[in-house]
Amino acid sequence: MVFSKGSKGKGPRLAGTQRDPTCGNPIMGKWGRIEAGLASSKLVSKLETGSRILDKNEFRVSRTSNDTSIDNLKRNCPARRESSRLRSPPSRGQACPCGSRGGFVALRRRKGTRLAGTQRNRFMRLILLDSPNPDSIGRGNFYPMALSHPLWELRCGFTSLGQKLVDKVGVSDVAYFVADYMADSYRAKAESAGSPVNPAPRRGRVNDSSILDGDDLLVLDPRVKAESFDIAAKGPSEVGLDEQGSLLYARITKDDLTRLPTDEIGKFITEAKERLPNVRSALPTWRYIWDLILANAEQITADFAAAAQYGIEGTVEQPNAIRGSKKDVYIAPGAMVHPMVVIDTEHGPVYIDEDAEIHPFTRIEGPCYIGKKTILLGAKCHEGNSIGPLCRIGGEVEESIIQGYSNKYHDGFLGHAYVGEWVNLGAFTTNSDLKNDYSTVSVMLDGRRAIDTGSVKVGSLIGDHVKTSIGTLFNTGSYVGPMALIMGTGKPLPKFIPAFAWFIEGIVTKGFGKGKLYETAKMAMSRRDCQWTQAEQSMWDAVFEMTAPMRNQAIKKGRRAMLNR
Amino acid sequence: MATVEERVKEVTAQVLKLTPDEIKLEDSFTADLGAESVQSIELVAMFEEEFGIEMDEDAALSVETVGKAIEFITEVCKEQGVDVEQ
Repeated sequence: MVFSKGSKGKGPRLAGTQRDPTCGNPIMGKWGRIEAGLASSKLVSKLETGSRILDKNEFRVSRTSNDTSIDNLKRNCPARRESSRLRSPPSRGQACPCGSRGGFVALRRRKGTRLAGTQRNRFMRLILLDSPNPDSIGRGNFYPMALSHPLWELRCGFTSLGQKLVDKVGVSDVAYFVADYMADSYRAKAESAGSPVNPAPRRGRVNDSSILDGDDLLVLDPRVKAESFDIAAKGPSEVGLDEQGSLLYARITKDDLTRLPTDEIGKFITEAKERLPNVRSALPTWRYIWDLILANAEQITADFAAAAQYGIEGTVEQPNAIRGSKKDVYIAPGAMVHPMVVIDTEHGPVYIDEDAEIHPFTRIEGPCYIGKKTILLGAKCHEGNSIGPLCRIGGEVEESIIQGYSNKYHDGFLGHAYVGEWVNLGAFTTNSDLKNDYSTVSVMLDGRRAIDTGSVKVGSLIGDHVKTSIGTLFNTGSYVGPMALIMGTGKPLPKFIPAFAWFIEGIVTKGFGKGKLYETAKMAMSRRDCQWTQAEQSMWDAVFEMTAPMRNQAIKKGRRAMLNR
Repeated sequence: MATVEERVKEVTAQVLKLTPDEIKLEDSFTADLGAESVQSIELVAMFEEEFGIEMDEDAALSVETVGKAIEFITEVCKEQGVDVEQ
């Protein structure tokens, strides 16, 4: 566990922390370290006498004779771990010199809703099938993110849609079919170890038709909502279609696989729909990218329940405040919560993942998920945020999803937004998520047709590698294509900014071209020890071509404005 | 029809708020004429509009002086079949 993780160098160690001289643990109050200068005299007095302040009803409880968490105790107690390495471990019931009586029990598991498929209802193999046609309407509904990600990489709650499906289906053998232009790029992530903090749901082959042969198979559209997926693993082959006749799932037995062409996925699906029994499926699906934003708070709550754990395994430095139930907080190993942080669980749980760091004066309102190695810098983190791995987030953020590796270091409001990877939002970048007349928000995903979201609150949809200058103002329901570079004008910007646009002095220009944008992307990635690959560049070249019509149209419009100045 | 040189100077003067007489062939857009990065982008856009050509951004923005810009634009016009006065 626990508090000792911080003391072993995973996070910055603050001067003045009182440590037990024997086991080296920071001496704790209710919520973690008691900094010498901040502890009350009463507390110090108790610390000096060797007794510890514990709240048995909350996180850290002393072991009692009927405590069944002995294994956890043994595993978690840093003194025991150290003892087992250097000297004989303390016997059961023997108090650690720091007063923990055999361990700091910070973690409790509670009954949760397990997502994974049960042994009785377990599929043999799973194929996650993104549309092979990049222009299909289904994918376009998830732009700008779907331009550079398979749909299952999109995030809602703690994890990606793909991870939820894999957990729900309960299968270890997973393969992926993605649009051809992103196959090489995604292959690096899915077939190798991938990124340690943002991996594919499982290691698996990409666009490899040979996997269509073999044992029973489940083909799944990633738009299917995992929590509603209730198709039995065993049974005759069947193809579930939505109202438009699009495949949502196909359960195909080993025998039937031999009757289908397995050389190409498109042909395979077409033949499966023709030859196998079709059923009209009412499985709920994600329809638009803003569905994820609007469902995020509820999904975080559900994911927290499914994770079935609460407590502190990281370091919490005093003074801090928890408002609401402490059973709705989990702080993972290596996470570091600095002093003067408020965690408010009145409206939902807060999950702070491994090695995250929460700086002073941050307020986190649940439901909220903070991803691995993410840093919150005095942020006002309102309810409903999922912040992916390796982000740096300050300012005010509300009901937003930030995919990962993105920075919003400074002040400025981000609400009901979906932010891609490698985004940098300059100081005071702000988006509107509510119209002045409280009417529903429309979004242009293709630059032509406005789609009514049906929600009065939708902020910005910001693609990968977008960079904004200081003072950028996004209108309600704005779309910002990936790789766009934006210089704020002091006024709300147009609601559609195409991919690779250089938005300068109020107009879309060609700017310095995509080469300079690639150089910036490489630089940004190298700062997080990630590498820009040739496969990635090829994918972006394809995105550049796919998005050229809208960009060129915007550039022409900009030229006209420039000439009229 | 005005020559390429005259047209380049005219556009440069317009974007950088100068008079054509102030602009010499050896002038650097940035060091001598004071073009900032945003104005460089505007210059490329305006040259494209003036001559009806498409220029590669990287190549265009690597041109440093007015004289080199005239040579570059003349070459692009030739490649793209646009008639210009030398």
